[in-house]
Amino acid sequence: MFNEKMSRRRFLSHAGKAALGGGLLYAVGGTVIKPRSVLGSKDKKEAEKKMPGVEGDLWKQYAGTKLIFMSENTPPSYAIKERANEFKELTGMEIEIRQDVLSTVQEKVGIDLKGGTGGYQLNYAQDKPMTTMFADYQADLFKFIGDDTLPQEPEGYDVDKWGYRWLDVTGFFYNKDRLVAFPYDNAIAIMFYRQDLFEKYAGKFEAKFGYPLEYTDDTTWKQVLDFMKFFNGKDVPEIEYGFGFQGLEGWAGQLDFQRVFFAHGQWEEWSFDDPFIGARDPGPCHWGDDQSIKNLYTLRELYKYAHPESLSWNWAGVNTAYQTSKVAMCVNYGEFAATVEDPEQSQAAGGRTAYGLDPKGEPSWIVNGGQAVNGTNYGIGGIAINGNLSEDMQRAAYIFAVYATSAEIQKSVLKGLGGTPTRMSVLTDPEVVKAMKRPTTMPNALTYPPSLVGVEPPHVVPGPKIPKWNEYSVLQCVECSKCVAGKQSPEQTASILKKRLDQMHGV
Amino acid sequence: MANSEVLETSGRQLSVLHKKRYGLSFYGWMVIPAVILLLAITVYPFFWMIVMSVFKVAVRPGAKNEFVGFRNYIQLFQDHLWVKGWSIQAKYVGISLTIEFLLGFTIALLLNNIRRGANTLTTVFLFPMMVAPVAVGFLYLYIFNASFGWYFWFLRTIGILKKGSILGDLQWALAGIIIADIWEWTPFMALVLLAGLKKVPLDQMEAAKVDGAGPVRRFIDVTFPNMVPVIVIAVLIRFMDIMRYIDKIFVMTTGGPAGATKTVAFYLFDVAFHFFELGRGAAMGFVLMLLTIGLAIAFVNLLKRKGVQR
Repeated sequence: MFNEKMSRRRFLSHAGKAALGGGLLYAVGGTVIKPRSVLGSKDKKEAEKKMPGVEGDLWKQYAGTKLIFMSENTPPSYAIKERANEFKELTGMEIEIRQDVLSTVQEKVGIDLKGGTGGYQLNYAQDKPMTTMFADYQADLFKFIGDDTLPQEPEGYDVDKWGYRWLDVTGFFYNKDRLVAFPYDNAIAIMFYRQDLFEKYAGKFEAKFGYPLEYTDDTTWKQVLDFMKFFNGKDVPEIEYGFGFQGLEGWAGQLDFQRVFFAHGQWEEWSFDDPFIGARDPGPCHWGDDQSIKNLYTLRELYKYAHPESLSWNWAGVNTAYQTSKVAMCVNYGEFAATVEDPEQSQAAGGRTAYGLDPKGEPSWIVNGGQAVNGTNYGIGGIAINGNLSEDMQRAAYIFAVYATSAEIQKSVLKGLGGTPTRMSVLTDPEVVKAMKRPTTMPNALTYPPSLVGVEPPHVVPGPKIPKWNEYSVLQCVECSKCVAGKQSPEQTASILKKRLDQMHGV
Repeated sequence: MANSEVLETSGRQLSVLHKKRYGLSFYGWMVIPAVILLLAITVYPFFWMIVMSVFKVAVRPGAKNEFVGFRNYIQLFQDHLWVKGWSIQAKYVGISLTIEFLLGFTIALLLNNIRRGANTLTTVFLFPMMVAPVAVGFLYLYIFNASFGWYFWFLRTIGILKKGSILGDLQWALAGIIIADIWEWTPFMALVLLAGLKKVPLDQMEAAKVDGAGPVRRFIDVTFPNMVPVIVIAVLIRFMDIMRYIDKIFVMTTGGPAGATKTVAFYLFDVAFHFFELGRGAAMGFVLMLLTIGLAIAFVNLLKRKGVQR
């Protein structure tokens, strides 16, 4: 058969060349379909001339493009993933949302950005673990905001359109020259506590401790310590421990310790001109001062009475313990209210849980003359565009960023999976405000009243935003955990941290 | 005529003819693509690891890498987490490997002596090895969990663990990782050692029996000496594997609490892909690799000196 028209060898040779050629084309082109700009990035009129009739549909100008968004496993990403078809109908673009745990997202996105490639056109940009390091590699969104050849969010992107300075925290790093991300979701730490048990054992507690068993905005960490001792005892058979921390090494632990530190005299590791923006070189740290040592004594005392598993828990671990009645109280992120309020998953559901501001610092434990505040921190996830991409690809990615952070989508995500909106118009929407009280169809909204107070000064602690945040958080966690576990004294811990963190910054 | 001559030429002669004509034997040409591929995926990154280890790799786009000589290596010895990581690594590797070997050998002997159902039992024993290490990490994370973990409940019920925690305790956390590792990798040891046991010459065993040697004597004088090469291979493979393992630590403790499970390999991952200090990470990787190879060679040489290797 082959001899008649083409020898077997020639056929194989041609087939091989074709396969090689195809493979090379695929390799060069990558797996991502490149955008064909209809409304051009440089010259709109010229582009309109090329493709008349489509100038009205700014959303569809990059139809046929495929985008990949590498995200943490967060509610908005799940919800938007479910709406991929809707996004395709709107824009003609395909969006693939890949989700993983934050450390893996950080690793993969980091390699992509630092390697100069564009495997992920969009990435989840957690303010501290990710963007403190990668901000210089993200595209500057200023060049797209206000560009009338691109679709824009009608309510705009000004700082007051989002939660208190959330745009600064997510988008600006070390200066305000470049905007690198839009706030996409925000998990805010607040107090979850078993109101049913507080009410049931009010009398017994008061008889023992001489004051009412109540959790208010003025409840201090010293009082929380009393609550722990009470719930740990035999008086309350429904529960094992009073309180659960989330001291897992890494970001969870860093945030957990920081809340206690900041509550007492607003103590922070470094002084910044503007902590919401951060600094590349923060200078000498404050470890070793009197307040830092006092704070470590406080932390050690608190952990002594907390659930012994506390050093191995992150937000999910402590949430499981809370849901299964292992602990009566915990500081956790508002987004967990959705599972806590689900009677199929939680013993704390059905109105048993109340939400409050994080505990206040105990005035008698403050030695730096600072204020006692309800130290509150958060993790804002931004959505950022890979700066290695071509201009057109960045524009295509921007369309998704606008879509994913729009007020309409945020509200619909909140109604569906229970997201953590970042736009004030959503957080103050009458329907959402109504849902902040029981009975509610949006359990996460129950956490907004304390959250919205906690994220503003004087309670909020947004940083430290420094390029070496990841190394700092590991050092802080390891040494503070050793102190908590009784392996070294607070004085030794403060001295070690002072030496190592200053060394890290060349001080 | 020519065809029949070719047919009568042996494979070896063909190879020689090919080498004369093309400079390399036919088989040589055939393996070249594979060699190139192998070089690209092993030698090239290896070379870059060494190069990177003498640079401070730029952290900002457009910035140039700064040559720092051996500074990254010198700094390793000033890094307390790196230094402490070695003692954690030694405990992790030493305890896991010893128990896996002893348990594996026992299981292999058991399976080798079972007459009925040996195949089924072998398959059952091998199950843990077939589970992905990350999945094993999650499995043990759940069974050690204080809220619903079965192990946690069991250890507390029998009084070993009082009012405490497994993964949240500085002493217990590493033990938790080791238990998970033993569960997963003992079957590997058992499998390799079982294969070795099947190769122990029956005539020697029979001769020992005829000479009146009991089971223990037969094990010491016949089985074990015959097993040494297999033992060396099994232990070496497992040793080199466990030296770089981080999966379970990553899932179960992320190196905590208080750095109690932060092995050198895990800290290397932290430095390279968490802090993105690629120069430092490369120096760590290079040292870890050299030490792993060095220890492996030392182990083989030790066995040679003891005269137990054939």
